[in-house]
Amino acid sequence: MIDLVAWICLAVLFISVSLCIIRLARGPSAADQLMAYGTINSISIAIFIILGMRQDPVFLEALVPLTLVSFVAVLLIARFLEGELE
Amino acid sequence: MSLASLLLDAAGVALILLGCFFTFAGSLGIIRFPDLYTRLHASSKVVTLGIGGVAVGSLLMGPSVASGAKILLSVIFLFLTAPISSHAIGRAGYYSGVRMCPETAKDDYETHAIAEKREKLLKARVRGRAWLGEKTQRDVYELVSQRMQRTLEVVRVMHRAVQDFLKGDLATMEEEASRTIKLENEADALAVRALEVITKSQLLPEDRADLLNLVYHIRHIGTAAKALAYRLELAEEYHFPSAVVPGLRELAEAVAETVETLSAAVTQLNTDLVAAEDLSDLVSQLEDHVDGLRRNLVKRLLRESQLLDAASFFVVNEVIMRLEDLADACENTADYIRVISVKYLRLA
Repeated sequence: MIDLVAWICLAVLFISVSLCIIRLARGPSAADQLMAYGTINSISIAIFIILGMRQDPVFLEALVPLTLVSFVAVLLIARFLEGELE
Repeated sequence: MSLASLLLDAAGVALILLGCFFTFAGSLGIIRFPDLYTRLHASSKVVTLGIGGVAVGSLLMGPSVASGAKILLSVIFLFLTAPISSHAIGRAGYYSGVRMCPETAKDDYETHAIAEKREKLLKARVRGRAWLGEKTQRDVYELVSQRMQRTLEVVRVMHRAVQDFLKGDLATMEEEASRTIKLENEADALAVRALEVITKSQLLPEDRADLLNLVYHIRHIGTAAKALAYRLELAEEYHFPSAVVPGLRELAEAVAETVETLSAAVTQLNTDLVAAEDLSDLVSQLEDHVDGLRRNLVKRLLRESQLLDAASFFVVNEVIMRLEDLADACENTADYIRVISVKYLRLA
């Protein structure tokens, strides 16, 4: 039962990621692409939580680094788009 | 299994499902909403809430302490950082000129100092943007630009040769024609070096193609000038119809002006793309002018053709054709400059 729920959730999350990938490809502005990138990172946190609970706890090790790296990356790229970093 | 843990499991499953639903809804919003600022709502609020739901649901299902701590920590970080990063994205979008969709547009910053700063930033970015930024790229561009300057010199000498030809000063003309050929050969050595550097240096395929095309186009101009000089060297004995002289002089002057403008456009390419584009437009206009002049000239030449012997007719016609070639080569280069500047000016 719980396994079934986990698979359904994973499927829904993967569909969400693919929607974000469409936005990432389409743009139209670099800021849109950056937003899609950040959202993909957030969704992969949820995917890792579910995989970590059902499959192998080793997936959970990646959670905190993923969150922090994604935050720093988005912040830096946003700064770059603003034109403050050259 | 106790009733309490069963209930907790059920609650956890419900929360996880709800979280997945919210995440999916947020992604749908990211696809469907009309502009960046509305999409940010979906991304920052709905997706974050969905992930929070998944995390809390997982915690309710009773993971080990180590796993639970990791999940809790990452979700706390996510909730702390999501507003900051979406604020940064929105700010970046606003300052880099992303437009709002007309249905929702209500810019509260319109009368604010921030809007002024935005205008200033946008203007600086669009006007002052250059084509190539890195040092290797700029070195290669420097070679290309030098090649253009040399071409300009070649065309100037050639222009003088044409004028002497029209004056009837054949000795000076011949000297200048052979100087044109010599200068052009020297300049071509520069192009060969530029091609070599482009092949060897670390450039993106895109930039490499752009630079190569630019060199080839500029080379065509030089080749056309050289061909004209060869034709002029042929003209030893000739019988010249005086009626075409002013027209031919005007044509040569227009062509020389086209090349001057083009050279200015190439120089602007790495400082101000908008200026380069404007100059390219000017080159196209000048080329149209050259076309018109040539048509009139050919008409007049045909009218006078009974008075000419075959050799003179051939030489004059050849000179006109080569001048036309030269102007066409200039227009092709100008078109390519426009391609480059449109490619790198998405904000304009």
